[in-house]
Formats: sequence, C-alpha cells, structure tokens
Amino acid sequence: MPTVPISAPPTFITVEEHRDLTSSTPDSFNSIPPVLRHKEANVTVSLDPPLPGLEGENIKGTLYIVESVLAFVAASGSGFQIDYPSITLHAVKREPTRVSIYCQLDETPEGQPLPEDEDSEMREMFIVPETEDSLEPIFEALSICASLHPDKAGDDDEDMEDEMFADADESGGGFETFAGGEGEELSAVGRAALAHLESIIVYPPGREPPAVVEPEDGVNGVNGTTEPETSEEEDLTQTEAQSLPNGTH
Amino acid sequence: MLIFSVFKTLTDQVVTVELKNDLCITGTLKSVDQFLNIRLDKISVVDPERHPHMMAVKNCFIRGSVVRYVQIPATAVDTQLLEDATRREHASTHKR
Repeated sequence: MPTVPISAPPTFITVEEHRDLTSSTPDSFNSIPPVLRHKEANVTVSLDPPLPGLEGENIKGTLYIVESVLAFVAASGSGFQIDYPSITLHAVKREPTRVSIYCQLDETPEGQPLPEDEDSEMREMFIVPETEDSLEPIFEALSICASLHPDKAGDDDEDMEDEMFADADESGGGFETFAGGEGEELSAVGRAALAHLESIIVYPPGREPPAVVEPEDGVNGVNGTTEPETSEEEDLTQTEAQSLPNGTH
Repeated sequence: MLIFSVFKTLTDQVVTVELKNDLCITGTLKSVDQFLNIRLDKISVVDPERHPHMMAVKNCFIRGSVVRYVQIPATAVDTQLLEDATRREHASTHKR
C-alpha cells in the first residue's frame, strides 16, 4: 500500500506496557495496541518524490517505528505512515557530510499486478536523526518490524499444504493407489520407481517393509524370506478384524 | 524451508541479489530469516549509473518478497546434492 498521509501519530503502546498487558491472559488479544519499537524525536525526513501536501526537502518531526506501521509526524502536525510490506529495502547510508537511514518504498497502488516494465512507482526516503548513535537502533527496529509483515500472497507452500490433506477416497480425488493386493502388479517402470523411492526413504528401526516379491522368480524364489512376513501381516489383519466387533460393545 | 536452510549455509559468502525492480546489489550475506529477508554487508551496486541512490550505503536489509534472484558462487553449493534434496523435500511434502 502506498504512503498514506496522516494527521496524528498512530495508536501504540510501549514495550513495558505490552509486557504488563500480556503478563496474564488479556481480555482480548485483538484489542492489544501494537508495540512501539522505537521513537525518535527531532529527525529530519526527506522524500523523493515528495508527498503532496508535505512539501519541502528536510521536514523536521518525530519518527514512530510501531510494529504495525512506520509513521512520521511533522512539527506542523501533518505526517505520513508507511506499511512495512512496501519498504523494499532499508539501509544505513554514511556520506562524508551526513549519515542517514535510506529507505526504498514500493508505491505501486494496491491491487495492481506487479508490473514488468519501468513504471512500477518508487519513492525514496532519507531519515536523518539528530545524533549518529540513533542510526543503529532505527535500523534494527525497522528490520524487526519488517520481518513481522511477511507477504500473504499465495505461494508454492500454500498449494502444497492443500495437497497434503487431499482425501484419498473422494470420488475423482485423483489418487490411484497401489496396495499390492490380489491381481495388482507393478510394471517394470513402477518397480524401478518403487526401488528408487525405497532407497531414499529412511525407515525407523523395526518398521522396514517386506522386500518386494518378484513374480518372475517363481515359487521358491530368491525372496523366500518374505512369505512368513506376509502371512504374519495377514494374521494381524484378521485378528484386528475379529476384535473390532468386540471392541464396539 | 529448504531454501532458507541453503541460505543459512551461505552466510559470509559474497552474493548478488537481483530485486524485482531490477536493482542488483552485491554484498556479503550476513543473515537470512524464514521469509528470506536478506541482510547484506559491504554492498556495492552492480550498475551505479542507473541506481545512484545506493552510494555510500554499507549494510542493507532487503525484504524477501522483492527478491527476484540470488546469484551465489558456484563453489559454494553442490548442485547435485541440492537437486536431490529438493526432490526429497518435494516428495515428503506431497506424501499422502
């Protein structure tokens, strides 16, 4: 969201007030005002391009670095606030004549798709505090608040989460499952894929699956050891099936 | 999460970050967080004539969402291992 003009500082509470409020469960979490991370009086701010209504290079006022927004109120009473997602980068700028905080702001209006051409609007802001000692705290406060505002736009991770919970027995759910039951056999490609997947999976000890039964190997084939295991599994499922009706009583 | 872990192994390496607004910044990767916000030290801008505003800036914090590419040194990462790790992570997040 672009820089918005304001006429009063935003609501906030101090770190101490927040600690007191949250030392026990508050009545409502939504009504807790955002925390002020840093306040700097007597700063000089310049914007390029300037904000309409806040003309002139070098406007003096107070900077409020609140966890919700970055705000500045000039001595005249007018000011502006900036959402952290529009701060593309912030830095400490050390020139021979002055030291300042440089911020690059993304001013593309909300709702517009990210433009590919040169026209994405950008504004630069310079914050000059009274003393050089304030630079690091301002930079740190900006970094902390910026990391509190990740983008909400849907990305790859969100898509993956939906797929993780896809219901296998939805009709048309799309998952073809292979359970190794009667009549089902893996093709050569399928067996190769299974072998590869098995090789990269790490099973906890005691939970290894039975080895793959190769149909071509014949009755007494190489995998003679699998038979007792598979019959154990069959017994297990049968006893489970038997115990179920009893369990429901 | 995987790319976050990869960047954690690259701290103190010199990387070049290309932003979505075409700004390219080279610097030492100081830290990265789970949103891939990047802190660079001792930065220099790749094309200073086009981007004069970054002169005299030594350290910066770049918002993860504005990054288009991060160029890393070829010797800093094993691409074969990274490819395998990416496939495994994909397989595990798509497990039924």
